[in-house]
Amino acid sequence: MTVDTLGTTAGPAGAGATEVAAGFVGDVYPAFFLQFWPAGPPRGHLIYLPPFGEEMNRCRAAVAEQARWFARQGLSCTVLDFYGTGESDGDLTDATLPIWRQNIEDLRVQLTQRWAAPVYLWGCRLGALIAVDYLQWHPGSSKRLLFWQPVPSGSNFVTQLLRQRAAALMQKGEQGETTAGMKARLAAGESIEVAGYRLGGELVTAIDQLEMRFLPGDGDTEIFWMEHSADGSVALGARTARVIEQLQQTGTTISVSTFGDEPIWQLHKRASCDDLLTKTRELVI
Amino acid sequence: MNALELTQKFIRSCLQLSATEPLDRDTALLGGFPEFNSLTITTLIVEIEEALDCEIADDEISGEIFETVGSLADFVAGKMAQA
Repeated sequence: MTVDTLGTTAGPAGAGATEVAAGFVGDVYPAFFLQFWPAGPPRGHLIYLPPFGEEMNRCRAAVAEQARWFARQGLSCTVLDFYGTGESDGDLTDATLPIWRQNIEDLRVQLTQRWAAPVYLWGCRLGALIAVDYLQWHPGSSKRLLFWQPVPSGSNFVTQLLRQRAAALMQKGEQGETTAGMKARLAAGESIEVAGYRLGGELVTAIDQLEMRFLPGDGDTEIFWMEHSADGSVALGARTARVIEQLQQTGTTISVSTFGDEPIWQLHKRASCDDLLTKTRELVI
Repeated sequence: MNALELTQKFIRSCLQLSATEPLDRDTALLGGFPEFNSLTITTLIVEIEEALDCEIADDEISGEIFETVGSLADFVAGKMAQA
């Protein structure tokens, strides 16, 4: 493992300074991480599991801000880029679900060896579904989970992803491919390009089969579930409500909160650049 | 919430429109908003699927559904009747 210290930032009055470091974990399939470490001994380790594709980039700033805050509260927080994504080694087409599971496990082992403390998984979008998958293989490795707008069904998620390609073709007036047809090509091992990302058949087919149904263990796992609500109401969508009820029936404790911010993982953020527009217009006059 | 209100809510959320921006049945979507593109369509379909816990098949999706707020609201009404 290599860790380069990027710097130390002072926290607000009354809170400790935090150290920010970057490094890689895992020998065979190295995964990049950005780590926020508290001034004193950590009372817990948070591992952030990112969303897929462009959603991962859109969430980065908010995640880094939250990770820094966690470190000021005495928790270590490690932001992971799965193998084949972000700053990690490898291409996305080489990534597989078992490799990603191993990335999490390698990081968990590294953190607990450095300092013995409980590990909490913080999954955003697809990262939450990956967290649930990881716990099927490593039961009890994390008893408390934080979910940001989790993806409850891999099959729905992959369909939604492939639909972007179908919709792009439709808009160009080209013969539309069906999502079922694309799934069949992926299952046969082909790779398909969607919105600038080349997706490998093995990874996407494995994600397609993930469902958030239950968490193994003795019913002592707790999920803090943050769900977006555009109008700020506490009403959950029918699908989310069903999945939460299923998980609760299998003994998992779930605390749900809704938040009314703009959905940061989606596009269409109308950031204004008035200065740029004005100066361009001045050129043309 | 009826189908039109629900549809307006989905569109406001996907296009980040303010609550005061007028959206009636005749408001054009495709061609009406420059940022209404393939990604908006897929986002809207996801919102509908998740809110109503339904599946929308590829062959149900066509450009006509996304012509106006009204055409999309009719589609949503059909899905609500099935749910």
